[in-house]
Amino acid sequence: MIEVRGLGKTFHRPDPIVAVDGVGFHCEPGEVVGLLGPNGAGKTTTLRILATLLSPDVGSAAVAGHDVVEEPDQVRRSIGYLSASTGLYPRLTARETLTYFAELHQVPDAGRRVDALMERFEIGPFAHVRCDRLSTGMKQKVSIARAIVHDPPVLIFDEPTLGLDVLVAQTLLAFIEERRAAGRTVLFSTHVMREAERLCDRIAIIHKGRILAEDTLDGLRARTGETDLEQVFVQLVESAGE
Amino acid sequence: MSEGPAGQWGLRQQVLRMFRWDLRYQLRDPRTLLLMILTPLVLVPAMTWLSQSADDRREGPLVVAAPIAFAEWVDSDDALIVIDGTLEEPGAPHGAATEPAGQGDDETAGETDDTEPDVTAPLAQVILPVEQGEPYRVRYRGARLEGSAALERVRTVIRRHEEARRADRFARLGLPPPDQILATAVRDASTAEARAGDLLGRLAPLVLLLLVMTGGLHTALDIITGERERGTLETLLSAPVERRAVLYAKGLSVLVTAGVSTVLALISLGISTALFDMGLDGLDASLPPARIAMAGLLMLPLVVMLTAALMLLAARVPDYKAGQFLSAPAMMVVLLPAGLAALPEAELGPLLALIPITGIALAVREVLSGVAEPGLVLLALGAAVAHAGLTVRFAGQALTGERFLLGPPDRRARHARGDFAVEGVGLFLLAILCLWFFGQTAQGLDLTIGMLVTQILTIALPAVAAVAWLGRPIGATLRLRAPRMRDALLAVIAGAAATGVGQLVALVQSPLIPVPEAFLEQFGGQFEGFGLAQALLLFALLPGICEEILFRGALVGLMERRLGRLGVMLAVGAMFGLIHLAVPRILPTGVLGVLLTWAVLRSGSLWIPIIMHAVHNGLLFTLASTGAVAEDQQLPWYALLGASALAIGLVALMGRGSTAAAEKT
Ligand SMILES: Nc1ncnc2c1ncn2[C@@H]1O[C@H](COP(=O)(O)OP(=O)(O)O)[C@@H](O)[C@H]1O
Ligand SMILES: [Mg+2]
Repeated sequence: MIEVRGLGKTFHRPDPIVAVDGVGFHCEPGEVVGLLGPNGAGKTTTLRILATLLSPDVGSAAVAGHDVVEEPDQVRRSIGYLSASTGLYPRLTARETLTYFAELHQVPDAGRRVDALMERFEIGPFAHVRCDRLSTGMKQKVSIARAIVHDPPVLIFDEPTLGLDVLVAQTLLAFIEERRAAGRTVLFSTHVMREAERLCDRIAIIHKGRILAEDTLDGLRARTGETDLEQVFVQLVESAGE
Repeated sequence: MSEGPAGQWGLRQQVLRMFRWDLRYQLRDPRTLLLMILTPLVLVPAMTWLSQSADDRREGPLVVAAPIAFAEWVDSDDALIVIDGTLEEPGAPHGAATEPAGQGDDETAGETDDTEPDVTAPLAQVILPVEQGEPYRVRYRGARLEGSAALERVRTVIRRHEEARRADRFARLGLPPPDQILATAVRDASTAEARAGDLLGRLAPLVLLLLVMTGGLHTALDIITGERERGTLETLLSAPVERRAVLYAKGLSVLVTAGVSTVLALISLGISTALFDMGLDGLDASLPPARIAMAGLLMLPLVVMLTAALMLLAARVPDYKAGQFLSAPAMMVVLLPAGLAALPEAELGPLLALIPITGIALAVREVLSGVAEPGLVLLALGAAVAHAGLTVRFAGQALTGERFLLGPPDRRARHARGDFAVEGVGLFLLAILCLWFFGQTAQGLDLTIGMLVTQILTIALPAVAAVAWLGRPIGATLRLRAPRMRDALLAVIAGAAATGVGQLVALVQSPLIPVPEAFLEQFGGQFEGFGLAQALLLFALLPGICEEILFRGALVGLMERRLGRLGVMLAVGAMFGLIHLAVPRILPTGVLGVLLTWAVLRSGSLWIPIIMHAVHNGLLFTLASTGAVAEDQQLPWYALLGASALAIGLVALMGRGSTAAAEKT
């Protein structure tokens, strides 16, 4: 479903910063893959390339069988993207936000789809409240509903639990599990080991723009001889440094 | 990059969908509504009122005094009739001139006289009174520049005549001379249509630009810069819409809000002119619809260009606040060329037609007053379409590229490198803006106060404030350390020799950019009525200190890291040339600015260019006021060249030789 090969991206603003350096991994349908790495590792840049927001300098990436450079429009149709700094239009209501994006995605029978999503995420009570008056948790619910308004086969979430309180974060993780059960592909980035440990079928560990390892949790444990993911991570980083 | 199957979800559909939501979003913004209503309700009436009072001042008082026998006027050698601004003997044109006088029936004549205007009439004419006691009537065509000039000539002739008569006539009778002898009534004889066209043509482009800018800026910033700031941009761009559609939808939103506020403002303009019963009575005449349509057509590319420019600005600034901060300089960049076209001297030519905004503003003015040359208007239109196309292209690049999403490079990283070039340009624009708005007004009141206000409040103060505001060390940035004695002495001589530099450049450029006579007179007459010491303080020392603090101090200090030595010399020189807002002075002053910048870089002390500047101005002033140099360019070119070479050589000697000694201290 997601196929990344030798991806590279350097920012020139104006000094060159190599953000992503030969990244490769893949995700299958019905699979949750975690992109795990510290701040500045290149997670956001990688996900932005997959969401067709940035174009790679080298390498290739395909989502749902479509190349991100050649067929960006098809890629955008197939993904539900939730950016790390995601925001909502302050002067639109929750319902309007969902309707707007349902229109942009040409969702057939948009009204019913929006109703269903509002019920699923318990948005109903504040459907007509302007987004700037919503609490952080409510906002995140609206953002997630907005990202999947077109029921995409691939979900790309950039640090979705960042800044959320425990309860909302739990709801979100439960939602990701539900999507997996529905046969969707989920790729999400995080720097929280516990989240990765709980959810991921496979984990790609990224550090300084490079993938250090890509395996199941058990595979990573076996490879490093450590049981704790944190220790696994530390050991991979140290052996990469040599 | 292909954007997927086009038929499925057409570009137009995408644009309209996004536009609808953007518009709904925009209309819920109290700031948008405030701007849309505030502009028509407050700004437009205020502007109308201002332009009216300006109009009042332009019309001098009517001259009414004791009449004398007209026969004396007719017989006298001074009986001249002014046509097309030149003096002619009272012969054939005389008859034509006296003809309308026969119809004169009211004594006050003047404005209310509705003698049918004759389009073929001379630009100005003196109409002799048929009966004793009637005023002399002067008719002129105010809608044409030459008409106003001709009026001045007529007035001069009358005054001269008056004085001549006064002397012998009253002296002969042994009476004290009365204040004035001739009664005259002045009347603008342009057709109402031409007057209306000229007035509307001057106002329309300015008003339009102002309204589009104020009406569109907030929207552009809110739905472009704000989209990124709020974090909705990434979401929007990951939706299956073409990048082009995003560009067009946003452009349409900006255009519509700007358009609505413009229309509201125009309605308000109509109401407030009627309400104040203003000097816009020229507008009573209805202009031919074809002219109005043509003017509208001409302004269309201008509106498109402005919209695109606003979007470009919005896409490039880091956040909403920065955009607002830049809006004042941006407004000036737009209004300056439009204001240029509203000057009475401006006339559409092949060169001016190509200048953005100026070309169209002039074309609109000439089309509306019916004096346009089709070829030039077409040229201006073509140029404007090209400018609009280019701006749209730039806006398109700015809104579809990666940089739109990422935002401008982090300012802090730039500042950490000591690069404040952008801020330097901003400071310069701010200074021009201040100078333009406040300085000229202040100087109109009183030259001394004007100089003080201009130099200290609009030049030196913003410079120091900007350096402090940016958190730069003031002493080091402005290079306030004491100069070495040797450099200071060199600076005195170099400053004196530098008087040759400006004159040499003026001499070289004179075939291309002649110095207008009026400008020379004004420049020369500026210092009248000042004592030498006072004048030296005011025109030499004060600008020496204040202008150097801005140019060689703040601007050099902020921009040198980014531009390098040569770059900062050229940039600050150019800015120095431009600040005087006079075309003939750009190059001479600019070259002087380069020399002064070089001096501060070589010597490392701001006092050096201050000394040079003060000595330069002081010498020029002393020479002019003592009459030692009555006319400019009295010195031959080789003398000027020699002086220039001396100045350059002396500056080259600065900071030399004692590097080791300087390092010890
Ligand atoms: N817009 C940008 N301009 C310049 N550098 C950037 C930009 N975005 C990211 N980077 C740099 O690229 C590297 C990777 O960043 P990012 O992909 O955001 O990492 P992560 O999401 O893992 O924290 C970092 O060093 C970061 O400083
Ligand atoms: Mg990130």
